[in-house]
Order: sequence, then structure tokens, then C-alpha cells
Amino acid sequence: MVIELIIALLFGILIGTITGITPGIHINLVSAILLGISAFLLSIVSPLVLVVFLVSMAMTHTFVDYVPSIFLGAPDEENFLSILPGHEMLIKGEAYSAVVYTLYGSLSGLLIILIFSPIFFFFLPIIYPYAERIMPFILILACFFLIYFEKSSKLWAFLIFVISGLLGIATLNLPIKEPLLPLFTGLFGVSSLITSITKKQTIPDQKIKPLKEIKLPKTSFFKSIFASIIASPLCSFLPGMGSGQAAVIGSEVIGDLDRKEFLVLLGAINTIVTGLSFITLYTISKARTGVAVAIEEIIQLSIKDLIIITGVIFISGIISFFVTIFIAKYFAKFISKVNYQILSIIIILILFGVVFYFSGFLGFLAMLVSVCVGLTCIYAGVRRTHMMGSLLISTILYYIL
Amino acid sequence: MKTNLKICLALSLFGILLLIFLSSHLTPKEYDIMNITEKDMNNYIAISGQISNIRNFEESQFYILTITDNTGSITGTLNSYNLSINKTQEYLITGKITKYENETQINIGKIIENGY
Repeated sequence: MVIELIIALLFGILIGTITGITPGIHINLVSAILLGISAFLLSIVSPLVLVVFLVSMAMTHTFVDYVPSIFLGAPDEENFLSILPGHEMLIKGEAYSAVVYTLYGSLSGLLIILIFSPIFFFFLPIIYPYAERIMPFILILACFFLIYFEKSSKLWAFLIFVISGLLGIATLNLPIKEPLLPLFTGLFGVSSLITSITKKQTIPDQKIKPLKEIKLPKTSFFKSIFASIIASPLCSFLPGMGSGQAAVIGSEVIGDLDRKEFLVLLGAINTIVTGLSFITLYTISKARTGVAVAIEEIIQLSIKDLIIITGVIFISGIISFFVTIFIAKYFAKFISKVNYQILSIIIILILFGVVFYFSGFLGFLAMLVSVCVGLTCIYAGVRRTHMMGSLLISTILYYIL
Repeated sequence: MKTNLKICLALSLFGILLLIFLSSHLTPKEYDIMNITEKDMNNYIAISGQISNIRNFEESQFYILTITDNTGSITGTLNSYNLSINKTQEYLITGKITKYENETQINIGKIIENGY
């Protein structure tokens, strides 16, 4: 049994790495495929082996998926906000460091999961109903601060926020599969790539510094971690909330974060939200991620399973840290040798294909509109986090209507 | 730059209006409940029928209900804060087909009174 579990863990890391570095391929897709063949798989292995595979894959994905997001500008549903600071660091030759900052966040996220697990275990059933009631007010406050602290033009910030909100509502109400895929691919991914092409951006040689030289001042690091501790737990168990909303709440509560601090924050949040979703599944029987839904279908979690899951989160996280460093070094060496304009066009075409395949023609249409909104935001010169209105307004309406 | 901004803003507004129009007028393919199969898994569909057996869990926003048409019945799940259902009324229910504990169900997105 132990050997089976170790093999499942390593296989999960392998598949999580593949889904992480492939633009547009999400772990939810693998979870859905696994569920489809689960009857056959369960005749060969125990449910716990499948669960270990899923958890290890999910955790690895949260580490590795920053590589295509930062180097290629190809996001997924959880890490799309990393494109913005990541791309700025890419054109300064610091994309490798950008990935490492997200990894610092993710590693810290592992520790936070370990610390928060017992708290979640005992207190979540008690605080859940109260947290649900105050959530819309926290979100409204976060939106207010998001616009209020815009340094460029508050009017444009407000406009972009509202337009994105309308776009989000329209897209989420379309009868399409995976509506967030065209929405975020257009808003944050393709629009950035188009800007790079039109600016004829060239990518300089990327610096690969030793880890000990990629540092963050202690105050900055703890600021980011504190922000992630405030925001992530809420988003691990509340409906309609995800890493994106958590990042906005966290950064607005703490105040101005520079791009390195923001990357640490994103890494931590992504890992914490995924990790705690398994604890949430056990404590209040709510599946908040695609992988948690798959686990819910496969097994009735016991406390023993939960302890094993926590161990898998930790081990796969540590291994993924080194796997991601290895991949990021490879990307850093490769990226400046290719023609970035041509690479950007190829990535745009791949993203178009992925969106068309998963979300159909309507999804493709939604992505084109999202690209226009993304470009409007870029040309208006305001922070692109205002486009989080696409999720925040829908989530607030979900709570108050 | 200003011209680009104006063009993108105009295209965005036009596109959003188009998407809002499509989202309120496009209904997924309507099914009789007995014709829902494994092939429809994860697809959006519409069902015309009546709603009964509404169960609300622990005062939360999560509901489980039964949808019935002339050909059979199916379990529906719904997250809603304000659910007001008339059990004699015919509704058009749209949502995504999923499986839970080997039972096919519909995760409801929209419920509208039939004829509207």
C-alpha cells in the first residue's frame, strides 16, 4: 500500500507538472477524466491512492503554473494576476526571479496550511455561517479600496471595473463550458501578448541568480504572507470565491504591494486555497475546487485520510519547488533565444484553439470581447487588477441577490 | 494611443452588449428528462418541468430539488439566497449535467417561469 501511495504521489507530480507548463490545460480536466474512468481504476487500486494522486497533482500545478504565466503570458484561472508583475520582470530579464518569488510564497503557503489545518478543523464549522454573512461587505470594501487607491485615473479605474463586471456577468450567464477560461485568457493573457507584439518587445537575456541572491526584505515578505493569511482561508471555504478574489482582498487590506511582494502573495494564496480546500471538504463537506469535487466523488474522507492528505500536500509541495526551479531555469535560457513576436503569435493561436475547443464559438466570442476590455485597460493606463471586477461584481451579486 | 483607446472601448461596449443579449436570449438545447444520457455529462441543457421536494440544507443557500416532466424526474442542485417556487407552475430550468454518487443530476443555473 505504501509503495502504491508513493507511486501515486510521484505520478501526481508528473501530471501536475505537465498541466502546469501547458497553457490552457487545467487540473480540473484531468480530474474529470479520472472521474470518468474511476470505476475501472478503483478495481485496481484503493480510493486513497487516487486521492493521493489528485492532491499531489493539484499541489504541483499550483507551483509550476507560474512558469508559462510569467514567461509566456499564458494564464490559467488561478494565476492570471501574476502575468502583470511577471511580464514586467520578464522584459527586465528577471523572469526567473519572478518565478522564484511565487515559489517562496508557495512554500510559505505550505507552512500556513499546516498551521491553519487544525484551526480549520475545529473552528470552521462554527465560523462558516457568520463568515458567509459578512463576505459581501468585505468584497464591497475591497472593491472600494481597489478603485480609491488607483494613482492614475480613478474615473478610468471605475469604468474598467464596471465594464469588466458587466463582461463577467454576461460571460458567466452564457451556456458555455468553462466560462472563466475565455474570460481570463482574454482579459489578462491575449491582451498582454498583443501589446507585446505591437510594441515589438524584445526579451533580454534572463538572469539566473542563485537562490540566496533572490531575496526580499523581511518586512516585505511578512507583509505578503500576512495578507495571504487574512484572505486565503476565507476564499478556501466560501462559495464564489477563489484565488483572484483572495489576492485583491489581501493586497487591498495590506495596502501598496510592490511587484515582488505581490508575486509572493499570489504564490502563497494559490497554494493555501488549494491545500485548505481538502480540509474544508472534510470539515464542512463543501468542495470548493474541481479536485475537491473529484475527491468527494471517490472517497468519504476520514481523519486518517486527512492526515495522509496533509502529508502529501507537504511532500509534493517541497518536490514541486525543485521541479519548478529546474523548469524555470530551462525557460529562462530558452526565452531570449526565440523571436518573442513569433512566440507570442503562436501562444495566442494555441490559446484561441484551447478556448474554442473547451468553450466553443460562444466562448471564443467572449474571449474576443475580453481581449478588447483588456486592451482598453492597458491603453487607459490604469492597474489591470481593476479587471477583477469581472469576478468581484458577480460574486457580490451572488451573495446579495 | 488615444485612438486605440477609443476603438477598444467602443468594441468592448458593443461586445458586452452583444454578450448580454446572447446570454439572455440563448437557451441551451431542451431535453426530455428520459433522453438525458452519459453523453450529456458536463453539457448545458434546458428542461421544461415542475419543481417539487425542495430541501434546504442547514439554513444555507444550498438547495436540492426534484424536477419532473412527462417523461421522468431528475435531481437538481441550486445555490440561491432567495428561492421562491410555485409547485404547480411550469418552469424552464437550465443548467449543467453532472454526476453525484452515480446519480445523474443537474446543477441549476437559471429557473424561469415557462412562457416568459
